[in-house]
Amino acid sequence: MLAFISRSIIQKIITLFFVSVVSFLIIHLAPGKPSQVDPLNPKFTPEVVERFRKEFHLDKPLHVQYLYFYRDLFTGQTVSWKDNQSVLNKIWERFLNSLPLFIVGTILTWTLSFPIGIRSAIFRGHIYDRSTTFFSYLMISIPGFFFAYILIIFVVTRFHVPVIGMETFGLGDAPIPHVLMDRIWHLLLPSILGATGGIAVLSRYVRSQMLEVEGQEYIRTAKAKGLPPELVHYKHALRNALLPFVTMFGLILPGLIGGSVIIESIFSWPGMGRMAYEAILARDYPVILTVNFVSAVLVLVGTFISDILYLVVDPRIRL
Amino acid sequence: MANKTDLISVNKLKVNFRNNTEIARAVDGVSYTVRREETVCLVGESGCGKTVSALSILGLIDSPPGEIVSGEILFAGKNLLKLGEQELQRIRGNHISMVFQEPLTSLNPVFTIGDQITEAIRIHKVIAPDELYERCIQLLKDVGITAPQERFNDYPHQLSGGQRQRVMIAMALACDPELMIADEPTTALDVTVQAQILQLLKSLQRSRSMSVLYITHDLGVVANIADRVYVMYAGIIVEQAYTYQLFHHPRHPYTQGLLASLPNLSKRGQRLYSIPGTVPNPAHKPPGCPFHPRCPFAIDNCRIQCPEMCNYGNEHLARCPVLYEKNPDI
Ligand SMILES: Nc1ncnc2c1ncn2[C@@H]1O[C@H](COP(=O)(O)OP(=O)(O)OP(=O)(O)O)[C@@H](O)[C@H]1O
Ligand code: SF4
Ligand SMILES: [Mg+2]
Repeated sequence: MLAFISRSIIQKIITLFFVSVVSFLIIHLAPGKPSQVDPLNPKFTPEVVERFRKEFHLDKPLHVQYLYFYRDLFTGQTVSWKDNQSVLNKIWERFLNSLPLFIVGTILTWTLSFPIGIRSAIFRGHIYDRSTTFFSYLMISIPGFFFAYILIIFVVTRFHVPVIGMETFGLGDAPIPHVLMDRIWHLLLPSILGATGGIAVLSRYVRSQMLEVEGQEYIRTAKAKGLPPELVHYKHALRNALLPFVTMFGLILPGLIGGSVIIESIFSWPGMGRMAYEAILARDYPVILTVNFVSAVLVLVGTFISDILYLVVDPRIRL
Repeated sequence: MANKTDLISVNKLKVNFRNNTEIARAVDGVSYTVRREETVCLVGESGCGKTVSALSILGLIDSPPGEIVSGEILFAGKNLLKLGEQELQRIRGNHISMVFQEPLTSLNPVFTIGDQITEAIRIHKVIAPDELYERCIQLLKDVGITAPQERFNDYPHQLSGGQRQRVMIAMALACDPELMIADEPTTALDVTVQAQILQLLKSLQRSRSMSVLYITHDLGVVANIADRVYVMYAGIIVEQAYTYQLFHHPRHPYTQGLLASLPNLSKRGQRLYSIPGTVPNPAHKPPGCPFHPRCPFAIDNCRIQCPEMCNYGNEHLARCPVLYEKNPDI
């Protein structure tokens, strides 16, 4: 067990190193430069650009730049080229903004997908199964922005509440419950939108897992023992059907730093997704690379957690 | 032997499987009886409907695609086909239990064998936890598992194939059923283990005075354990007899072919006989006697009318009037 853990950690660190090199190279190979001379901007003279390049080590060879960048990252000194602010602070701030969306969205996705998918599998072919199948494909195929538009119109005209942004401006001295309700309304719509796609896909996946397990011979054995259907489905079948989702559970983690560009843009939500998107447009390498690095770490930590969880839940995997 | 009372009788059972285009008559009017404290073998080639006819007893045919069209299954004075799901649950595993062919895939991989065996008891009996544990250990001992206390918390993958099948048998015995159905329980095991499991089933049948319906395609196994035999072909019973009778005076050309294709010492060096042709697909069965395309004695009438059983006395029946007319009483 300990050997497995240490081996796995070493492997992940090596992977992380390669990820850092490759992402660094890709960013620098991508078209566009942060230090291009803009002929329309009189302040951007070749001399200024040269000074800028010196200051950020852009005149050095790539491998030196790489070392500088990761030295700064690990000592927490990385700054954005755009506004000279600490990148880690920027990310932290945006992360806190995205967190509520992420939490509500994830809870919605994981608590709704399982009951929906399991019931569909048990009542395969019945009206319940057919209608959830229909709605899943509907949700998967409707573009997010279109659905968002419909939802916004519905909520705003029906309930007369503003839903754009994280909160309504000028509520500073309103009573607490009012502010709270306002926050919840603003949170609800983007979370639901973020979750619908996930629910549609995940519930399909739960259904197919469940169906596959229901066809196994040990289910027939369980029935032949005289077990009531609840025990057959919710003990013998479900326990097996859940195994692959343990892996997916670890992969929720990277979502912490993801955030949806589309949803954040529609709802003017100052979250991670938009920050990363804007950084890419501005060729703000430190921000892009830091976000990239942090998500790589989260992915690796997530898979590590999955491996450990798998070990716990599947008795066939022993070391 | 004839004075034993009937435990279960399946009468004219018909089971169809339906897919989009065709209907497969997997079991096509099968009747058989298992009496108290006897071992009955249902023997036939792959695909002739043995498993389906056994699963029908427990109401475990998946519907759709399966459908029990007609017939009755009488057990303790009740027609099992007329019972509701809950009444069937009280019978499954409690009065009638079943052992399947593949012990690995038939045990749930994520629960310990102790859990899976005690579950069968918990569901049917009211019993104190420590007594439950004792009973499970005793069962494991009875089926010849060594160090049962240690095996109790093992998962199926930690056991060998033979041990797994022993666990399946322990599970089937858990509630002292009157009837145990064993569906090719040794087919997936290697030969020495097969013999051990067979021996185990034989001694358990005696010591527990239960009835066993043993399904196999192997006449060697039949000779070893059966009191009576039903030979199945393409969804119908073609011959039934006491084991000795069947082996010494087979009355149906199919049975004769099966026996002729058994390897034995006096035929050493000769090529093994095999029945020409193949088993018909249950969706496209030939009219008349289903065996006629492969039968050396077939006459014109065989292609038209499915024959009735001919009685040779002493409960020996065979579904071949052609041979019966030639030789009705030897
Ligand atoms: N779930 C199913 N769906 C469709 N057809 C089925 C199904 N189960 C059985 N059948 C049909 O019923 C026929 C008889 O099957 P059955 O399993 O009873 O054969 P068997 O005699 O037990 O053979 P084997 O020795 O291979 O176990 C098969 O040929 C198959 O066409
Ligand atoms: S009835 Fe005819 S075809 Fe069928 S087994 Fe007898 S002789 Fe052969
Ligand atoms: Mg079978």
